[in-house]
Amino acid sequence: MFVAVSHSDEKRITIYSSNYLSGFLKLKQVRLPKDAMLSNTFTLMDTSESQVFLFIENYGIESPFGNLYISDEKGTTFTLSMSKVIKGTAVDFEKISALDGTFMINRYNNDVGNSKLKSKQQVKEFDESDLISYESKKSKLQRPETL
Amino acid sequence: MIGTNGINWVSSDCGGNIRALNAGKKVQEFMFHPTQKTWALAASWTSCAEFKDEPCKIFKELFVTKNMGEEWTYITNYVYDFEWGQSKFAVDNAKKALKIPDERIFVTKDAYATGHQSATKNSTWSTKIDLFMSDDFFKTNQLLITSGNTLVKTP
Repeated sequence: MFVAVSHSDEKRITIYSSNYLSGFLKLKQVRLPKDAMLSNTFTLMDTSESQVFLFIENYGIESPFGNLYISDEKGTTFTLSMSKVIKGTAVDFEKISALDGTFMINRYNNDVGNSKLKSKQQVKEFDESDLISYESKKSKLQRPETL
Repeated sequence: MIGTNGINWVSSDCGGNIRALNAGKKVQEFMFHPTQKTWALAASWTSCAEFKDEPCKIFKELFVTKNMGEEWTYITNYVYDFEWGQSKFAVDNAKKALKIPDERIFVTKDAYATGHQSATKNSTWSTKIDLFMSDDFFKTNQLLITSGNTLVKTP
C-alpha cells in the first residue's frame, strides 16, 4: 500500500509504503533519489513483477515530463529507471501483457531537436520522441512476493 | 453495475436476476471486499435535503454492507479515500504474514471538519487529512499516519 503524505506546504508530498506481511500497518517512507523525495504527486504504474514502477512528477506539475522509478522487492527503495517519461492526461507507459517483464515507454530524447521543451504543445510538435521498449532487468527473477 | 443518479444494481447469478442496491442514499463509490463476496464499502455525499433544521453541509460518508446491499451500516464521515485492509494475496500467503482481519479498513479523513468538505483535495494536499485504520468499522480506530492524504492499495 502506498500513501501520499502532505508536506507542510500542502503543495508537495512524501510517499510511504507498507506491505501485506505487516497487515499493511508498518508504513515507512520510501527511499528515493534526493530530487524525488518531495513531489507534486505520484502514480503507481505497475506492481506485477515483484517490483513497483512509480512515476513521479519531479519536474513540477506543469512539466510534460516525469521520472520513472523502480523498486526493490519490498517496495521501499527506489532507483531511477527512466527519466523524462512523457505524460499527458496519462503517463505514456504500457505493460506488454504477453511478454513478462516488458514495458513500453514514450520518452523525450534530449539528443534530437530542441532540448528545452516547455509545454505540452511543444511535445505534440515533437513527433520524434522515442518509443522505447524497455525490458526490465529483473524480469527473469522468480516471482517471490507481491506487495 | 453503476447506474445513474446514484442508483446501482447488483446480480449474484451472472445477470439472471438483477436488483437495485438498497442503500437508501445515492451511492457514488463502491468497493467490494477482496475475499468476502457479499461485503462492500460504499461512499455517498450528503445532500441539503438531509438538513432540515440546520445549515446544509456537504460531506462524504462511508457505509458498509455484509449482505450484498440489503442492509447498510454507517461507518464515518468527512472521508476522502477508503480501502479494504484484506488482500487475497495475504490470505493465500497467510503462513508468512500477520493474519489480517476481514473487517480491516483504511480511511483518509478530516477528523475535525464540521462544514462543507472540500471536493478538490487532489489539487491541493492537506495537512488536516490523516490516514486511519479500523478493525471494527470505526467503533474504534487508530491514526496510522498524520497528513496521510490518499492511498493506493497493492495486492
